[in-house]
Amino acid sequence: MREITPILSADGVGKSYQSAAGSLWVLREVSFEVPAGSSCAIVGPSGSGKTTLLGLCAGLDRPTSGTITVAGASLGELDEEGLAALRAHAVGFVFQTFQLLPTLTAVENVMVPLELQGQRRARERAGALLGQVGLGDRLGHYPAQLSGGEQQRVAIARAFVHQPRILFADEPTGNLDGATSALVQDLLFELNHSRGTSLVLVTHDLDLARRADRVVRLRDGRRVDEGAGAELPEPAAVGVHAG
Amino acid sequence: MTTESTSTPSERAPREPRERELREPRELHELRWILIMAWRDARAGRARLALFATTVMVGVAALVAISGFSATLEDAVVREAKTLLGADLVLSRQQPWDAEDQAWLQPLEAETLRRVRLSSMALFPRTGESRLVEVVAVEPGYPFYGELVTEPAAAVSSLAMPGDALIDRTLMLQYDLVPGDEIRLGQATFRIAGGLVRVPGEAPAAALVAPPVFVPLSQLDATGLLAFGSRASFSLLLRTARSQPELDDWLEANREGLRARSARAETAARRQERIGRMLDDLYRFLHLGALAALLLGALGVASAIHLHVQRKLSLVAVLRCLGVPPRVAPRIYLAQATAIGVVGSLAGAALGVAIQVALPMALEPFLPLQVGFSWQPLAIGQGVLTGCLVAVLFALPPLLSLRRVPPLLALRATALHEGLGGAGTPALAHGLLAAGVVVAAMVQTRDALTGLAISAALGVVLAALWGLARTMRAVARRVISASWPYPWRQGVANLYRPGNQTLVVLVGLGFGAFVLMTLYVSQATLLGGVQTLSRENRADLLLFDVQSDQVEGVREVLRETQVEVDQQFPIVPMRLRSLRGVMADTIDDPTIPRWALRMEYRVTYGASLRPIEEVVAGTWEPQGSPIGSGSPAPISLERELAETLQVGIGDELVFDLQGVEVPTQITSLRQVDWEEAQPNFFVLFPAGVLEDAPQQTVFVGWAGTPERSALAQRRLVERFPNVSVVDLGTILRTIESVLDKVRFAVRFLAGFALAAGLAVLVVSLSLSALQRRRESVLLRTLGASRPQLRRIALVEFAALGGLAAAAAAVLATGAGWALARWGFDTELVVPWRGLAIVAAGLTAATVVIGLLASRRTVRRPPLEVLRAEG
Repeated sequence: MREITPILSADGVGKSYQSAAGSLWVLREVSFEVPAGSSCAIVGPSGSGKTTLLGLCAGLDRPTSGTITVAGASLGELDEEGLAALRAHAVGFVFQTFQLLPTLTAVENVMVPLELQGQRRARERAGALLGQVGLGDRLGHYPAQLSGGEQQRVAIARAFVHQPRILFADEPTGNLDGATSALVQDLLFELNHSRGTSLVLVTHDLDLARRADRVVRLRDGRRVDEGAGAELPEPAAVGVHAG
Repeated sequence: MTTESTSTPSERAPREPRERELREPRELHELRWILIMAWRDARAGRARLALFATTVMVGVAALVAISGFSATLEDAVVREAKTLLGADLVLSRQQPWDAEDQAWLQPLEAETLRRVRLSSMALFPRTGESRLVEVVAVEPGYPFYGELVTEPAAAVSSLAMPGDALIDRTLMLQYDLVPGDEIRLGQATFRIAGGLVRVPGEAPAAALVAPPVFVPLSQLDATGLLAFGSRASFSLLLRTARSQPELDDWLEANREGLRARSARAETAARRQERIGRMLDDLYRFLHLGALAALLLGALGVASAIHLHVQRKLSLVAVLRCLGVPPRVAPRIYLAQATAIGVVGSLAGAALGVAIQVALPMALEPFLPLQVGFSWQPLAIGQGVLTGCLVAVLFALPPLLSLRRVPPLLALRATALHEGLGGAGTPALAHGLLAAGVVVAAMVQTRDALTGLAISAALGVVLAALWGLARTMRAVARRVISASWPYPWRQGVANLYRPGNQTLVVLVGLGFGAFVLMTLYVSQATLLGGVQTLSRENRADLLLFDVQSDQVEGVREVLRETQVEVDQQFPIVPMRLRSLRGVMADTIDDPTIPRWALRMEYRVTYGASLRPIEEVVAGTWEPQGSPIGSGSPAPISLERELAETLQVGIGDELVFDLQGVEVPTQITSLRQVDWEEAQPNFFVLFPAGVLEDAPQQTVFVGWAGTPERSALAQRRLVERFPNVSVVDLGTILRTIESVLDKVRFAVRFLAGFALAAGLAVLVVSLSLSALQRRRESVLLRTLGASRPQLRRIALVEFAALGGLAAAAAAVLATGAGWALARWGFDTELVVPWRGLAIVAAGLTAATVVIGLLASRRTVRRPPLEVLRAEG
């Protein structure tokens, strides 16, 4: 029988910062796995270490302890160039504040990951994907000329365009209204399913978290629970609020 | 159960078929992508990048203009070396040349022309006015090389016409003379054939005191000016087929012959060297100005790129998240900096060439030859290359810090404080930058040692400003008080709170102000000595060459014309025979200049010192014994002459007074104020020694009005044609008009530095305003009013600007002193009032530009700014 390969594996991950009072641990002994093609939501109250964990898993920061493996690569063994290569080929990002490059048009923003890999027909492919997310008529617009929802759709297109193996999303609906949030959620999971891209979300939005295959709950830097998204209790019971 | 893959991402095949269509080499692909991204990124901020390019442009324009002009001037000096002298060799002395001398020159097989120069008063009969002029009597065919430029052009041929004269064109304009008018020189009257526009080898400014009047040599005797006491210089101009080394050999072999004839020789090469030395100060100042503009431009680039980098941090973090390697992101902005350098340098080169066309016009009065415009591809190439290198070198340190931008910044703004900072900038970048400054300083000053010294001084200045900025932060933290009004507290706190730009702005602003002020102090130092000549002075007439039997007559004329005689000095010409017992003409010490041993000393005597003289060593003895009494006369020497001759109190000098030995002993040294527009003397005898010696008299008088002065000059020239009258009033007015041109030229140059400095100011303050933008918006959101925000900014910028300007003024005074002492070999003149005004102006400019830079934030709705800020 073929075993499911995890696309992301965190083992005993901890992170501390030095302060005048000594070491401040913001994450301790967190372990979890995300099978390839699945989705995982990391939830927890503010200050519980969600974004820190996401940053560590995505190779944006180095853990103080523990190991993280992404797409088969142990992040601790990669230098900055190696991490960059990993992100370029296997990782996609969606941010709460969209983080589009303000000096590039919508289509140019989406082209960047393809161009980094030296792929041809980047403009054509980026344009097609933007059409798929409903922005076919906004290709030449700069981020400042787009609404929040449109910006996030461009960001999602950029995150998926190079067909990454895993996509990290930090509060992807945090800056959006209810209707737009639902639209973005649909888009994320649709692309997750259609392209087989694994999805790791950090969110306060329980509606979003419930759609994930798995949910990792954090409190005070520790993992307190793990289960299927659909099993999530009502917001009041987990101590988080809807975003 | 799961299994882990052990392969690395680069080794793994893509999960889905990927179009790896990368057919070009990776490096080429990367370079292409960097250029595309640099272009895309630049689209949104072209105006800002254009501002950055102007800082380079100004520096390169100054560099190209000045280097091009200097190269043109040097080319002209080399090309026209013979023209500058008018011959291959010129021999001059104070007696006429005779047949025996001609025989001595026979081996040179040279053609010769004779020239006699002497000062005389000229009278213009039509207007009744008179003026001291330099009569230059020449033979037809003068000069061998080059030509006299006259107006009208045909007038030059009049030198072959008995009875015709060519006179300085400015003199014609001053006295409203036209061709055909007459000029009287001594007892002869000449017809003015035209105006002299340019005499080869003579700077127009040299004609200020005694403008030249050219007459045929054959007519000189008729003037009767070659009488006793007239100081004429007799020259022989030689044209020979001999090469320069052969001429040098001949001169070396005939040193004794020259000495025996009391003659001095000048070759084209020596003249070229002499003019080169004359131009050195001009070059030094011009190149100092170019270096200042270049450094300011470089500082502008560094500040601009620093500002640019600050704006791009989050963008770089996102790129890092998207997989851009750390080394690649800085290259995008390096490509932009290079483009800024190239565009700025090319625009600067074009502007520099345009200025090079204008520069000779401004400097014309001080140049011994006509300098037109000529293409100087080397200067242009050097300027463009320097501009590009400066842009890249100064952009490197801030750009390399981009390597340290953590991708985490895309997730958390606080990640910035963990990652970015100057400490990570490789030492190599700073080393390259320092080396670049040293090389630029060496090239611009044309001297390795001076370049090193200037670079070291710049390092000291930067260190001082850095220390001051740190001190300022510490002091601001300590002095701030809860009792202060809110805007004051906030403004002062901005100087030390996290993210403050105190260090960057104070060092940038302070350095810019320092460079500008140093240029200003240098300008004042260079012009200071000349400016004092033009101040109000009581003496406006100077009469010399008055013979003993003419003294009473001259006094009578002065009385009749109501000219007050302020002072009257006897003048006794003599030469130095021996110095501490060694014959002066045998002294071959290279440390004692020949002129000091050979010159004719025009000494005076009297029982008292004048107010402008001060004894600085020894004792002034007012009374001596007559010549021949056996005891040496106690004399006073001007201090600098004593240093030149390497003599001191107690040393004995013997003078030669028309063949009679005059033994003397130095009993005092005097400090003389040479800047006073009245006669000064190297050697002062006491009363009782020279009263019976052949002598002339100098009068210093006060006419008060140009009319009385003109009347006195006319009467004097009619009755005593050998007496020379210097109309100080006219000279001072002429000097003033020439000084106006100098000031224009210097300010023109300083304008470059000022323009570059302003660009630096704008960029530095934009940086500070950018840093405060989000904070200001948050304050507005919390209810702060616009006037409150303006006051906060005003306090912060006034503190930064005031301190930077004050520090710059102190440092610039120090630099000015060093430049005056070692660069220009003159006394430092500190324009305190001007410096205070410049410092106040810079502070005001800092506040105004700072407020303007903040205005956008203050005016726009807070939400708009917050959205734009992300």
